[in-house]
Amino acid sequence: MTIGMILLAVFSSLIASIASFFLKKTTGRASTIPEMLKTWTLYVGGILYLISACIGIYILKKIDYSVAVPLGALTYVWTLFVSRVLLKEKITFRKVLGIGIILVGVIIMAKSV
Amino acid sequence: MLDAIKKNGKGILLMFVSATALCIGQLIWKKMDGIQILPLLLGFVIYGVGALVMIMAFKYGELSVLQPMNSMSYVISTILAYFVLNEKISRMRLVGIIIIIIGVVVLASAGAASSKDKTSSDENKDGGRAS
Repeated sequence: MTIGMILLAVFSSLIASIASFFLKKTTGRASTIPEMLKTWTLYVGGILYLISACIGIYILKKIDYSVAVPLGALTYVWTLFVSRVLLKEKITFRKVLGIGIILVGVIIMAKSV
Repeated sequence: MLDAIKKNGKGILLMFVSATALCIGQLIWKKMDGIQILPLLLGFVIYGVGALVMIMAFKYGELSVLQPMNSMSYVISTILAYFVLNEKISRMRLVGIIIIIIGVVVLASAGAASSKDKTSSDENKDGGRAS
């Protein structure tokens, strides 16, 4: 379990966050599944998610599950910032509190496995 | 105003449906003996439906509120493991998922609160320029 692997896990969660941004963008342009399939942002989001998942699978061989899963949950934190910058969504105390509590729950849950 | 609250609510509900489908799909794969065509395909389809519902959910609320709802999959898969696979749930794991649920509830209320205050629309009708 090296620093490099942990940083890679953090990076993977960032990619997943950016992927979800592109998926959100897709729903802005398309309402039906056929329309979505013609929207390029769907594929960018999908590919980014796949990349994130592949990195995640690789990571699980290198670091403990109890560390990998909470690092994966960091994606919720990233999304808070990504959506603030790119979607103008406000960062509110309740959002931060909610995500913080979720992270605590994920850490505890991952440690129990 | 009620519309605004309902908007995030629909997205949150769809995220729960999505998480459930994703978990059921994975559960089918887990329960498979080796590789069988029918369960493999069924799990894949249900998982795919879950992914599609998640994408559609993003239309109905803020990304910063909806995306973390994915954490419900930890809760749902724990419940499924207990009832379907008869796995034992450790006390620590139970505490963990309860805290996740609390966090989800707080976040869901944040979604309702901030969409009430928003003056601009959640819907990115123009497909969104970043600024």
